Amino acid sequence: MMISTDTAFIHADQVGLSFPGAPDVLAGVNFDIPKGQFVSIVGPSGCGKSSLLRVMSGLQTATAGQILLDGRSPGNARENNLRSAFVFQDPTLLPWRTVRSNVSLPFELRDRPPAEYRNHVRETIDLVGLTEHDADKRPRELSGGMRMRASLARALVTNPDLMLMDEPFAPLDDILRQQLNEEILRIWSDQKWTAVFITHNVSEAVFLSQRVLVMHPRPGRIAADLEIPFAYPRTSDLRATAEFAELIGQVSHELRRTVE
Amino acid sequence: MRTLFRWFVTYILPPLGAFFTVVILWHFATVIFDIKRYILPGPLLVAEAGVKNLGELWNGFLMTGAEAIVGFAASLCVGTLVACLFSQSPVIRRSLFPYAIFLQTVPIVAIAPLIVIWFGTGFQSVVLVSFIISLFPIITNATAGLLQVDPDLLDLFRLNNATRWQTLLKLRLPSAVPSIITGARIASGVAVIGAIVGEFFAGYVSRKGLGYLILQTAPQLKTDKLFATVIASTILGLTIFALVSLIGNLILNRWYDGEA
Ligand SMILES: Nc1ncnc2c1ncn2[C@@H]1O[C@H](COP(=O)(O)OP(=O)(O)OP(=O)(O)O)[C@@H](O)[C@H]1O
Ligand SMILES: [Mg+2]
Repeated sequence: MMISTDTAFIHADQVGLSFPGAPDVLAGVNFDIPKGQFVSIVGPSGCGKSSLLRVMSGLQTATAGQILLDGRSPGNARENNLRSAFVFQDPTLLPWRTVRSNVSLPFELRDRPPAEYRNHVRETIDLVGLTEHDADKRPRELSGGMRMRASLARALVTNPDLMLMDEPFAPLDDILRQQLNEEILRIWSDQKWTAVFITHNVSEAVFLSQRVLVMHPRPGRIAADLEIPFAYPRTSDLRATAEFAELIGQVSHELRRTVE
Repeated sequence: MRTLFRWFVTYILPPLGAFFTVVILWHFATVIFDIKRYILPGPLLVAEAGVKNLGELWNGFLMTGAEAIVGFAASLCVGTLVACLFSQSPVIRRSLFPYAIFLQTVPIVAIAPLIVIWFGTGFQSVVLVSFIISLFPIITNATAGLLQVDPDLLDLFRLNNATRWQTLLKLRLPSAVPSIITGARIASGVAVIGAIVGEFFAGYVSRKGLGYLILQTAPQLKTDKLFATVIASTILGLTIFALVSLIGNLILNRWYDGEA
C-alpha cells in the first residue's frame, strides 16, 4: 500500500540525525503515515527509536532531510495548533501535584480558565480508568500502572491529533500491559488520533497496530514495513490465534535480521 | 507510646549521655587539677553565672536571635531570587558566579568594619553581616536545585509551549524546594554566627546581644559568665537550626508526601 505524499499525515523524507563527533543516529529514514493510523516502531535497543520520536515531536531537529506533520515542520505545526501529545517511558508527573492537577497542566500552560477544562479533565481521568478518589492523590501514592494511566490522561486531555508514545508500558507487568493495550485501542477507536507507538515488545506491537516499522541500528533506518491486517475492535482472544502468532513470528524474524 | 520511647532511646539518650559524661569529667578535672576559676570554671560555677545573669542572657538571646532571623530571612529571599536569575542562562552564571564565591571567601571580620563605616553601628549592620555570610549556601543550593530538573519534565513543558516564566514558576522552583531547604538549613546556623560576629563590630547601640556580652565579659575575666554566654549562643544556634529544619520538613511532607 503506497500512500502519496500529499495525503500523508506524517511524511519522513530522508531524515537524518547526527551529533558532533559521533556516528549518525539516524540516516535516510523514509516513511509515510496516513491520518488516523496506528503505527508501532520496533527495533533493537539504541537503534534510534526515541530519537526518531523526538524529531517527530519537534524536540529535536533533523540534521538531514525533513519530517512534515500535516505538511509543516514539527515545530511549526505545534505552534499552529496541531495538537501532538507525547507519552514518555516514565510517567513524568510533577510529584508535588495531584493527578487532577497534573492532568490539567497542558491547559494551565495555555492559560485557560479552570472552569473551561474542569469537566473535561474529570472525564479524561475517568476514561483512563482512574477514579475520582485517585484523582486527588499524589503520584507517589499510586502504583506504577496508575501513574502510567495518569500520564496517558495528561496526553489525551488535549484531544491530540497525534499521539507519540515512547515505550509507555515497558516497566509494567504482562497482564497490566495487555489490559492497557486493550484500553488504549478502545480510546483510539473512539478518538482516531494518529499513533506512533514505540516498543521493544513484538506482541504488543502486533496487537496494537495496523502497521509495524522495524528499525535497523547504526545508523537508524527503516528495515521493514509490515502490515497487520486484523480488524478492530481487537480483543484479547486475538492473542490466542494462529494468525497472531504467525505475524509475531514474521516481525521477530525481521527484528532478528537487523542484529545479525 | 512505645515508638516515643524507642525514639527517646535511639536519638535523645546517646547525646544526653555524652553531654553528662563531659560535664562530669569537666567538673572533676577542675576539682582534681585545681584549675583557677578565671581559666576554666567548673560546670556548677557556669550554671550559677547563668542563673545570676538569666535576664541579661535572655535579652541577648532575643536580640541576637532577632538579628539572625532577619539576616537569614533576607538571604533566603535574595539568595533564591539570585538563583532564579542564575538558572536562566549559562552566560549569567559564568559572569556572576565568581562574585557569589566572593561572599564565601571574603573574611567577614575584614569587611565588618567597612559595613560599620557605611551603615553605622546598630541592628541594620549586624543584620547585614549575618545576611552576607548566610547568602552563599542559599545561592549555591538553590541554583543547583533549579538546574537539576528531570529532563523529561523540561521536554514536557517545551512540548506544551511553556514560557520561560511558566517553566520557572511551575517546574524549576517547585523542583528546587528540597535543595532550597537544604541550603536554608546550612544558612540558618551560619546566620547566627554572622549575628554574633556582627555584634563584635556593630553591637554597641543596643548593648544587648550575645556577641556584645561576650566582648564585654572576656576582658573582665568573668570566665564563668563568658561560658554561660557561649552556651546561650549555642542554644540559640540550635534553636534556629531546629526551627528551620522543622518548617522544612513540614513543607517537604506537604509537597512530596514524606520524601525529599
Ligand atoms: N544528545 C545526544 N548526543 C549524542 N548521542 C545521542 C544523543 N541522543 C541520543 N544519542 C545516541 O543515539 C543513539 C540512539 O538513541 P535512542 O535513545 O534514540 O535509542 P532507542 O532506540 O530509543 O534505544 P532504547 O530502546 O534503549 O530506548 C544512541 O546510540 C545514543 O547514544
Ligand atoms: Mg528509547
